[in-house]
Amino acid sequence: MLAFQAGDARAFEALVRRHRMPVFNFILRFTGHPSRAEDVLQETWLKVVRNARDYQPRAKFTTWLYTIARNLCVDSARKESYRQASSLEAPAGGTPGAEEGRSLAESLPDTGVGPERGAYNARIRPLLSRALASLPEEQREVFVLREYSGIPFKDIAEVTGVSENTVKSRMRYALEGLRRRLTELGVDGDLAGDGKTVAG
Amino acid sequence: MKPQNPHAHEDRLLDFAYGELSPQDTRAVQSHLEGCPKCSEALASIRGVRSAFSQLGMEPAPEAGLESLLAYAQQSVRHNAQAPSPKQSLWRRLTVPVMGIAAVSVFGLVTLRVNERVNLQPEFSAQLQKTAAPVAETALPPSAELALPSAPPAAGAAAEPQPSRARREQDWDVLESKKKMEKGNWAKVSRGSLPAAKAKEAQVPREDEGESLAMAADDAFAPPPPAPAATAEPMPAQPEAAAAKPAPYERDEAYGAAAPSGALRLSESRSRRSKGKDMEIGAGPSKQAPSETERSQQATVARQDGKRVLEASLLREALADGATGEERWSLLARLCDAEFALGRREAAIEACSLVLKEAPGSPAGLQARRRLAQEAPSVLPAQPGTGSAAPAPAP
Repeated sequence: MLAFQAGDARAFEALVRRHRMPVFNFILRFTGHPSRAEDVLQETWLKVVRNARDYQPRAKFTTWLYTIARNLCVDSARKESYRQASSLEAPAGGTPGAEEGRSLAESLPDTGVGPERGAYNARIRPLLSRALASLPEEQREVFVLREYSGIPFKDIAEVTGVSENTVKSRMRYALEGLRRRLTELGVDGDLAGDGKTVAG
Repeated sequence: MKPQNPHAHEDRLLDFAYGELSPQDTRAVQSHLEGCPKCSEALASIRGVRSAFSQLGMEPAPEAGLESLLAYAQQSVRHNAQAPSPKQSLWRRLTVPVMGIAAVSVFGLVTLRVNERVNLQPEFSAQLQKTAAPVAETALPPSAELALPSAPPAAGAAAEPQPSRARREQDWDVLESKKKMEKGNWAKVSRGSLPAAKAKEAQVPREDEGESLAMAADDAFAPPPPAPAATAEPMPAQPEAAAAKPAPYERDEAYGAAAPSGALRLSESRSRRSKGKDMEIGAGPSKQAPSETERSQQATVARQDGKRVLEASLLREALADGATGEERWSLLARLCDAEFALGRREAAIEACSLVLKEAPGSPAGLQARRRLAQEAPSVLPAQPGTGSAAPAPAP
């Protein structure tokens, strides 16, 4: 980032290549809507370019970047609530077994490797997405930042503007809530896989 | 493991599960987990949720908009390279308005001063002439001046002629000092409140008549007392005095640059006069050189320059210095003319009447008569041989 501040455009390209995917996943999990996530992602990087002069080296670039992304996500969520647009859960409407609209989980490409794994993912991912979306926003953002973006709790506290203890407290509540939700949905953590995690 | 709060176990388990503990703390937690089934169960729950949500995986970021974003970044870099640095921008943001205000203020002040000078210069000159007359009339009663006894003729003394340029400089300096004094008074007069001090000063007659101008110059510049060698006109037969006599400009230099030549000259004449009086009382006829001729010449120059107030003052001083005979009558006639020009009618009539009384047939007397006939025919005394006679004012 300092190189980009000094006028090196290639440094910015390197930053984008390195952080684009985790930032996009954070935005995607936060907003729950792929097209809105793309808009917020683009807006985030534009804001990085515009505010490059304001960047202070004392802060981690990732912290600064996720702070921008998180604030834009919050703004987008507010605008969306004002418009009363359909949320991630809205298309589901009826019972879990009923025909659902295209939610986040269904719209995402299948990253499985084999047919069996692909079938399993196709079944479990909507449930996971639904469980994640059911979390309160402040718990969801902490879980996503830690689980998918790999941001330490201390830095999450900076991004969200609360204390580290509050972050950990929210994380505990998020894990408990997800565990309950998975149990309700009939998804067992042991069945979910082989013990691997995303970013941990 | 000694928790500080009810959730300390879970916080440390979170840090342990996400690998944020130091190696030492990691070993401590591991050893604790071996003997604590509750913490082991909590950790298993955390790991189960993480395992489940790992199925969502990381989604690839869309490529749309990447090229335009990089182009925008390059454009921004070029723009920033041309723009000033943030510190300069902030500095300019602070200084530019201040400098602008200062420049406007200076311009406004200069404009005001220029307008003031341009507009007031003619008024100033006119007011100087108008106000000088009443002040002089109040401070210097003409009758008192003209009633002075004629100064004894300074035998063997000759006036030292001054170079014309030096005389003009002296006159200019004196007039400038007078302007400075009167300018201050005008501000008060224009407000309609003449200060008591000024009024008192105007009512008290001067001890030495005709020296108002010289006193003004002296007060303004405060020159040191003139040296005797500078005041005494050396006689040709006195080599020591001749050796001590400096050139006119050398005298100014001897008093320093702060002593204007005009002030010096008038101070010299005043000092000379007082010294002459002392000599009169004590040592009898002295080497004091009369200065009435010099003053007469200065008055001529003042008239040529249009400085009638100065001319009148110099003529009075010349008369007070003891001019006699033709020279006295000529001075009186010129004083009459100057006073009429200044609008001081009584003083003018008095001067003309003196000439007519002392030497009605002289050229100065004829000039005075003509002047009176023009300005005040009612006070003109009867000509010899004619029946009509107007009473002349008392001298």
